[in-house]
Amino acid sequence: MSRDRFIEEDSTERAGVVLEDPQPTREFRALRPPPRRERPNRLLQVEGPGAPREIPLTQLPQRIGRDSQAEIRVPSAHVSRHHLQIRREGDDIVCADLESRNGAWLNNTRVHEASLRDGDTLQIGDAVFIFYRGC
Amino acid sequence: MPIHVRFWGVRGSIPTPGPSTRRYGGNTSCVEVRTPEARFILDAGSGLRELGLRMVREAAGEPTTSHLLLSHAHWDHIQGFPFFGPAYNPATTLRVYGTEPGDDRFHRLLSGQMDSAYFPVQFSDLAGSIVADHLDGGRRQVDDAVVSVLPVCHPGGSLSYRIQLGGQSVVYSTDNELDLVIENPEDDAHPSILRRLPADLVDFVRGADLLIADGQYTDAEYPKHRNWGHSRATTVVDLAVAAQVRQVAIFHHDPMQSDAEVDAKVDACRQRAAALGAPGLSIFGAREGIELRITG
Repeated sequence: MSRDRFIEEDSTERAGVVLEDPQPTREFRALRPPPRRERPNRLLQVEGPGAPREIPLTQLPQRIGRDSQAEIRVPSAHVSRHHLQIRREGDDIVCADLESRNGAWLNNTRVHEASLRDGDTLQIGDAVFIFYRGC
Repeated sequence: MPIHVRFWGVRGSIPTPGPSTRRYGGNTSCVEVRTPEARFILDAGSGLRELGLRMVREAAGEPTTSHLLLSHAHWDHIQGFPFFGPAYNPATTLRVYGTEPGDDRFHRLLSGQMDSAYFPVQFSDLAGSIVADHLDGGRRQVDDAVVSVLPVCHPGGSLSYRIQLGGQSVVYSTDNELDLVIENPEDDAHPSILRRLPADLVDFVRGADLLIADGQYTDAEYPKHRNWGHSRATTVVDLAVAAQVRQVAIFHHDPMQSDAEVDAKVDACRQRAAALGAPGLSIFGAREGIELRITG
């Protein structure tokens, strides 16, 4: 590693390799797999008011709360008006407690903030969500 | 006022990136503890790099001061330091603590690992102020927090730290082989009998809101690794129960453990807590990217 490169280097620069998608030749075109159906990052609400429902996380940040201004509204007395924020940080999807009364619980551990991983269970008040990483 | 604790690296021995460690993470030991006035960095394993990137973003060129508390200088606890971005910034001050006046061993060891044989940038070239400091023989006020230190059981030695802010406290106790200092080993086979640990250790941990502790091995793995300097995760539960801790983070996961195996290890800890009559003890597996807010 060059010492001059070292300080400026960050993960996005290192990951910034663009691979061209070559056009298949005629003889192999028929063998090309069908385009993959992409699915966004999403929450699946499995318990609490509003469940069941799937919430795509395409527009971030979003707030979960019982307030009518919350992008993901959960009308429950156990949920604060603005309870939790979901935002993007680089490649990560992050949840952050917005000073809620009852807290945010990730896989049954109370957290202030967390990077979400595929299959994580997130509970706020009586609402339970499962996070699915997009593909 | 709260203490914020964030996990940047939770793995022991060697970084283990890959699909089987994606959830808990593969970076080696690094935990950030923030009080309203101070930022403590507990160990400088490979997780330190990501912490450094965030600190650079947040500081936006403004001066910062942080306090580095190293448990010991084994590789997995210092290997992140050469990649710590703020160290290259002249606006950074990083205080590296020894235990008593004149104890600059950690400062020297950080410098030594940047010898040109190992790394292209020399310690003397760092633009930040990397300053040797000390804990006044074991206990010192640092900004708004009181930091205490206790030597624990590990080949070559290791230090545990307690950070106290008013009535709230966090204890960081990694690379500590609790199982070698159990005082009633004859009772080990009984799941409901507490493994009795030294009083000075229990007192050091007593009443902590969060105990971050080396629980590298499962009960099945431990016999093959006795004297390697790491604990059975279940013995951490005994320490927490004896010291009436509120919450335990099982830390320093073995590099061979997959996410599912860490899950199982933590489940075994919860079962032990229930068997010891402490079903309410909150236990979780330390995981990269999680931040807790300790409010006492």
